[in-house]
Amino acid sequence: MNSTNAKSSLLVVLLIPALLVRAPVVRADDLVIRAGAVYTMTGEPLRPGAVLISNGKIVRVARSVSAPEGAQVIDLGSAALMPGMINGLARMGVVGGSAEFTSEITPDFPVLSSVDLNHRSFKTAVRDGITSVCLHPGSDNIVAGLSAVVKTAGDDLKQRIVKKDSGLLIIVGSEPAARNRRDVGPTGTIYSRLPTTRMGLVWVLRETMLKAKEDRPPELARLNDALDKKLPLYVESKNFYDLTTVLTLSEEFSFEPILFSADESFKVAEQLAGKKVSIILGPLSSASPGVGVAGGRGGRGGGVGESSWSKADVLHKAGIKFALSGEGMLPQARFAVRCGLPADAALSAVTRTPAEILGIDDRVGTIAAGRDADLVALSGEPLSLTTKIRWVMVDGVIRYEAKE
Amino acid sequence: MLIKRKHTRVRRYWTLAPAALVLMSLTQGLWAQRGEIAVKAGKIITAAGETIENGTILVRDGKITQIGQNLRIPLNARVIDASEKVVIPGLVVAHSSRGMDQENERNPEVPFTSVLDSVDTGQAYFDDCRRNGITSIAVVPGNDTRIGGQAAVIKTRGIYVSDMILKRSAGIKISLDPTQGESRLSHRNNLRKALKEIQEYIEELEEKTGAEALPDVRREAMCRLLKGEIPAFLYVPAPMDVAFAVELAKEFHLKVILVLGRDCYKAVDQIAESGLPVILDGELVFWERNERTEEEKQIVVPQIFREAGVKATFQAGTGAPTGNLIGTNFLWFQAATAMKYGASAEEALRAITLLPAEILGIEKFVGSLEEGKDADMVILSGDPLELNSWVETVIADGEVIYEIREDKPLQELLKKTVGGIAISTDRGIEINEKVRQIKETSSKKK
Repeated sequence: MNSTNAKSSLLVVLLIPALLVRAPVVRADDLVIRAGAVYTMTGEPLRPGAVLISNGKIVRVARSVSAPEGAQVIDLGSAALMPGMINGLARMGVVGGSAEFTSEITPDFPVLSSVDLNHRSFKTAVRDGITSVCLHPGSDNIVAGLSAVVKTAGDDLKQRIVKKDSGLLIIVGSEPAARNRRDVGPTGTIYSRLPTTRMGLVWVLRETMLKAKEDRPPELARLNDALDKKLPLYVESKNFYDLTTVLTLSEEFSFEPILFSADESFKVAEQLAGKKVSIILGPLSSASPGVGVAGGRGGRGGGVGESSWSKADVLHKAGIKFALSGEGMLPQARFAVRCGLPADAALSAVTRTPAEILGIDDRVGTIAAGRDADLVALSGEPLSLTTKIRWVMVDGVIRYEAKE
Repeated sequence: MLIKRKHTRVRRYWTLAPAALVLMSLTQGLWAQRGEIAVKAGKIITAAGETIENGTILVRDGKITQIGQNLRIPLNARVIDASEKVVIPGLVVAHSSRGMDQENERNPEVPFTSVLDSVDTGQAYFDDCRRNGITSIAVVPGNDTRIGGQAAVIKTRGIYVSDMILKRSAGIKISLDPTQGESRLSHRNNLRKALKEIQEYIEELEEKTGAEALPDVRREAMCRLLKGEIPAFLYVPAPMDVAFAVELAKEFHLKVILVLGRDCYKAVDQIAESGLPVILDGELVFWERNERTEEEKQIVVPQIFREAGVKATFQAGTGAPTGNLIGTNFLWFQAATAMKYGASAEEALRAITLLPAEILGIEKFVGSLEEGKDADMVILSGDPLELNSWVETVIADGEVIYEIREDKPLQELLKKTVGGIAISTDRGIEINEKVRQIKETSSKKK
């Protein structure tokens, strides 16, 4: 016992100079933020907590951090700090059409080539505390194209790209067929094209996957990458029966889909739990026939299907990795909590989990050393209805500040 | 169900009649009557300025008879145990054009009509109201008719509208929004003309006696409006209309309730000076864009009115961005928003209970938990206006009209079970095989 104690104290003595040596170099742009609570998302919130930021990166997170010389200090008092939120299912700023209408299969089309990074919708997102978004091509093509993760603010547009070609999006749903029925003239004419039914859609998808696997044509190289698990395969699917189709296809072609939208995933939670499937859940809604929004009309229209207020909690209980998405991420999390989801799971579902699902957790989603300084300062506990966003920081720069 | 249970209780009671007689004398005449209930509450927020911890509310014949701590509960009262819960007054909606079949009349002047002829209690709206703790609603015609019909205050209890009425003629809707193809000039002119005509008509009648002095049916409601007997719900769509609204109220000595459009906050000073009661638009917080610079500014309407010293009540909205979640579509959320931007919890709750009752002139009956008032109350799982508080029980006129455990649709939406059906992948593989075959044959053809 004594010898171990001696050893450990010796270790401490040796470590102190080591820590001193490794202390961060003081820079003019160093910044210390002190808050009543820091929701690091790596464990219990620090109460109080402090974060040292240098060059747009988080350097140190602790209960208290002494400010290096010349560093700016922001003292939030009793207010809280949380990581910038991540909306994994976004189509903001996509201009000039989001789906190519002359072809169903466009695996080489990157969404980034039609994103206006100066679009006003990014400013709106920042105001809501969203600092990263995963942008997707439109849902009117079967193999829609390549998605990308970008920051919602920043002067250097190139630097705003967190992950170019973050995944290949395919659509298993009714939209591509509906598009062909709607826009390309009456069926039976030379203008009509497969698919105009959901049957046709699955057929085309299957045929394309088979072609990619067997013939390996260069135009389907990105689809092959996705099927070979070299590139994440994003599948946008809403209804229960679409999701079962995805499961069927994933067995046939042995891929691991990341599901987007998946509004009725709560109905197949057991099946999904058995697979390596993660979900970016479409925006939650209380609108349904007869309940929730006063006089709201629901039904199965629009492909949204049956409603459940507690679906986030159902996925959570089934042990499925899922994230929330939508324009207002905090209202989403609050709604989920009101309908049963534990608070820590809800907070994770708007920060850490989407970062993990999108493979960007080395940069965002938590408040930890080495991560980007994407932070949201809040007037109180994040999930309280009376909590306001005070300011939002992206890469160490405050991009939105609420006036008091 | 409820009535049946009451009967059995009474019957059982009579078998104990001799003992009861003795007891009656002992309890100093506290003879339990039919329809008596006692609500034991962990906390009672009366909205009349008082909060009672561990209190009891006694109800007889639909009215609150006593409220306070350590009350003696009548022997025969049905006890509702909310000792772990919070009890607040039933919420009061000061202005709603929902729950009606067609809220806007196409004819520009229809003051003789009444919303009571178009209230559709079968609409999901009323379920939603109960689910959210609303017990009184002022149903008011829509904003599209220059002189709309008469508003009425109804309780959310019952199926037949005639059983639900609290105030039959609660006011007339007048809209300053020229939606029917007129210009603002002629809209205002026509409105003045209509009011003038009634003024002259009243003068004419005053010279007459007996049955001749009574107004005709088509003009009766307007006469009451101009005599100040009933208020006008005056819809003011834009800030430019505020001055005219105030002027109109003065010129014709109207009792006016201002129903404001979203942007009327810009005329808050004029509104404050007028001292007229205010119902705010459903959109309480929004971003306003400068047409020239494209710069956006956040407008927080309840904060602006509070700082100007105007007491205002809320109405539910319909819009984005959280319209589909817990958002502006819920009256209680509107009050929570006011709280978020500086109102005290007490003030916020008052703005959806006592204040709207005062505005509607029904504060003698509803709006707070006080002796003599209607027994309209909501039992909450926690403090009001908080994220995790749910309406558990709603009582109107001493009758339980909602219980969360019997709310099947809500249960369905909140069910925690993991559902699902087993799926087979065989079919898919079979089709896969077919595609392969077709491909093979087609490649052979080539």
